[in-house]
Amino acid sequence: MTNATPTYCHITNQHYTVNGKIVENTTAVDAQEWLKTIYTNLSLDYPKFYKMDGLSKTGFIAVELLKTAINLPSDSDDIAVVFVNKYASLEADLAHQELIEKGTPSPAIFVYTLPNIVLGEIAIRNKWYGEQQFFIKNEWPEELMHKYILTIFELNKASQIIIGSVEYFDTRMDAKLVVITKEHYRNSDVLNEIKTIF
Amino acid sequence: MEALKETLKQQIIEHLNLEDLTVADFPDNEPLFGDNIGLDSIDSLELIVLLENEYGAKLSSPEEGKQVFHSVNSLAEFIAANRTK
Repeated sequence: MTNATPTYCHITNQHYTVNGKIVENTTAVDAQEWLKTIYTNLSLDYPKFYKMDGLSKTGFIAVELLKTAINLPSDSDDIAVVFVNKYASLEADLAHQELIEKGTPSPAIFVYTLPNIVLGEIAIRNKWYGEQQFFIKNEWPEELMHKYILTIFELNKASQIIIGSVEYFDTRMDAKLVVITKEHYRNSDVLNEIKTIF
Repeated sequence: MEALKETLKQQIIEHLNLEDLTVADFPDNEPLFGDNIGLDSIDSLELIVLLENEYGAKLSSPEEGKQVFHSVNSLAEFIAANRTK
């Protein structure tokens, strides 16, 4: 077993944490305003953030939080990103449906009616060209994740994997991401560590 | 025309979620697409929706869009000539 714990972060409507330490709490009730607050606190300068839907903003900010604690180099094909959630892009789907029924569909909302768009936003931001996958599952798919991580590392598709769940639906957000390296995977029961972390 | 341009700039900011920009960031004759304002292809679709919903002005062809969407000036001129509401 290694003592090196994977880097991880967690964002909710109430707070955000990095490696288990609360960075900031909030009493704000508006999830979008909270995401903008975190964006500002991180001193980010990426205007496209404002155009993203809630799910993409949540995943984007979560990865930026990880980057405050670990080096995730830009312009790389050696970083994989694997996300899971339950509600897919339902927030954007419903917003799109509502506008269709009003007769005024919006292209800017339509483009977010797929959950894996968040992966594209992160990839564009960071110039990451490696493996990306978004699974929609009711529960954390432990066995599937085990196989997926194993496959990525054994096929040398990446040396770091950002893995976790990213959810944004009905004003509720919850993102839990962890960075796993080959060393973590070789030397420890990393899936149990993830369960402990989250 | 000046009032229309000011209104149009505010509408572009709101419809395209350009929260980091203000009306003052939109020079009347600078290209909307490219390095300055930096609109993209999805934004151009949103501009078409904006023109139709707010002014009842429709583009006759995709080729026309390139000229109309060049700047705030060209957009305002198009609206003034084609608005139905």
